[in-house]
Amino acid sequence: MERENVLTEDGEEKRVLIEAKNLQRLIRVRGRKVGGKPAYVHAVDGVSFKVYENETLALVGESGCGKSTLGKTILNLVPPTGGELLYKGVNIYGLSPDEMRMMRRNMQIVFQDIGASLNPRHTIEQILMKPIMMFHPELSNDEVRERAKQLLETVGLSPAEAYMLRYPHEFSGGQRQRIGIARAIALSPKFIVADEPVSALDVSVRGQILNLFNELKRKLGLSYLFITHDMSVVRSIADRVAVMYLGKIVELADADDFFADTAHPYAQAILSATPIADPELSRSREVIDLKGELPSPVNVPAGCRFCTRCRYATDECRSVEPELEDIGGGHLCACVRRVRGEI
Amino acid sequence: MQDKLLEVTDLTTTFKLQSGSVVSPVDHASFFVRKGEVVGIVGESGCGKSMTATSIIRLIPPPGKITEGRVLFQGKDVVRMRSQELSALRGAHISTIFQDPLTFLNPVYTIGRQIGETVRLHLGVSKEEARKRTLEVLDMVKIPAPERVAKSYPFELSGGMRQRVLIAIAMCCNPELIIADEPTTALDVTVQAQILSLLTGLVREKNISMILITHDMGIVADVCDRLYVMYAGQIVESGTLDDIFYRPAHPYTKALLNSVLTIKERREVIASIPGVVPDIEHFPKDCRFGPRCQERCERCAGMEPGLEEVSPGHFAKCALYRR
Repeated sequence: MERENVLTEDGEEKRVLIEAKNLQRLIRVRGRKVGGKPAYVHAVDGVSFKVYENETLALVGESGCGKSTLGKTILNLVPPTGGELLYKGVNIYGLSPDEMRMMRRNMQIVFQDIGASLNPRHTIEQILMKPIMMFHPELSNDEVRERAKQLLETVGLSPAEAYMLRYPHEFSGGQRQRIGIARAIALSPKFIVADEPVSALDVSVRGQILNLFNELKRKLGLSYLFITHDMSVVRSIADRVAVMYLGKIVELADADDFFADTAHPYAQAILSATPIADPELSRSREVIDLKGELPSPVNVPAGCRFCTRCRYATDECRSVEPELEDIGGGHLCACVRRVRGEI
Repeated sequence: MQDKLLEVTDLTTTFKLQSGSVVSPVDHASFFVRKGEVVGIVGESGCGKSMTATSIIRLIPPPGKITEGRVLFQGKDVVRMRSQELSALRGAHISTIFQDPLTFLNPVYTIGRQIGETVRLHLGVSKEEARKRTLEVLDMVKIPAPERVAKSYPFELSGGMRQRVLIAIAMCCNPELIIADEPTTALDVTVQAQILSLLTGLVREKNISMILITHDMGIVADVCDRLYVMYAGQIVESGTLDDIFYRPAHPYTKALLNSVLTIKERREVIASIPGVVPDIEHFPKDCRFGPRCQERCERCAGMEPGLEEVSPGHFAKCALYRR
């Protein structure tokens, strides 16, 4: 199948690795109706984007916006209710269970809650050897063990022998996240969904793990969908940024463009509220106060989903649902007033 | 000094572990809070900042005990108070706001009942007056439709609303001191900004003192007058906001500030502090930050550093400043 690639400014070709087309995951709410029809949680509601080879797309949004559900839907860990997810042009939702299993080598995930994603009764050796043995039955035990050791060294747990026979609880949070990353890269995937991988970590170790993600991306040619709620993490790691609100992407742009000229009123609000560790800058900034509360994802507002809290909203915003449109140089924004240059 | 509302000297809280070893998550902490002042205690997980807060009002989980030091509140030593005096102190004079409102609020009582109970217990007023005060404080924390919220149960409110209710409970008896332990950590940034500005607005307006405990340097930069930095159970640096942010003295503070991420620029390599926090059972005998310190030198060897005055009112627990 034909894939659409783009040329970068330096004339290099960026190749599409992942493409989400109108992805949707609605979750039925039993025993509830909206306007006489069955009620659904609009967790992911018509989301389209691409992830190019060897790039980090940061997916940012506040709790309940659907970003984690989107991450799981992309990997087919939860089934979509609509849309396609193409990996190198192949729609993974059309694969048979056996084919999907083989596809999983290419697409992996790193979770936020590291403790819960590692079996407490397995040693690090067992945790890392298992996926390799499953997919490489031709290898001997010693060969698999050797690979597991290399993985630990790759993620900075060195010398590996000192860690192989320990259990997850014997490690600090940062070290456990390194183990989670080692397991994710065990089968040499091309694409990793990282779901809030540094949110539970202390400031002083967060940098170490973000540096590791960047280093592995360079060395192994990985692409990430990096899910986070923290704009300062986005700034540190993203090549491109997608902002999500109530199941939809409202802004999608190159990271530099996004931070230089944040377009969507919601993205502007999150950015303005992000704490700044500098007393003078902190005092002089203007925080955009969001009105009201996040609407229920079951009963989403008509028109623009952000209209109930937006300081620029007009009657048009409350009736017409905005599409993602180019406001210049591939910077996409779903806001009719911004697209027309009114705000 | 007369204007010190709270003065803590050499506070040490000790736990005896099952393994038989004795550990002190708070080790000789000394600090003070002036009337109307907002003081921040910052540090990473396990540094002892929350344990310091619970020690001030003696809510340490067993088998923890205060084994040394004084906690003078308005001149009276909290450590020596009898339980009756303590109950009168908590809630009425010192109130607390915690990170997780759901564990603090009782799930089976309405918000109105929980606030009313606190008011009646501490202020000894009639039911009718308690109801009036309840609606008053709910209005004060800018809750729309206080009447309706008073009749709601905690699960019916959003995270931000619940945190407002906690602030209302903390304010309802006109306390002199509020201890806020990570009050906004579980909230989204946009809600966090609202709650912080509400809380600081109220304490400033009513001249209430506040101890704000957090791991987030961005939050203290926004609201505090003075800061204490904790590492491995000890206060390692103290000073004004500007001292700590613009003239940090302790190598840990410098490294911590350096590793805070910023939205201003993209850095190719993100700074971090090498190594891990030492295990509480095996703190180094000399400087506890020593094994991770970039400025370690021969002056550090062998002895625990004292708190040295770097400039007037600005202290660092580091041998570099020993005269």
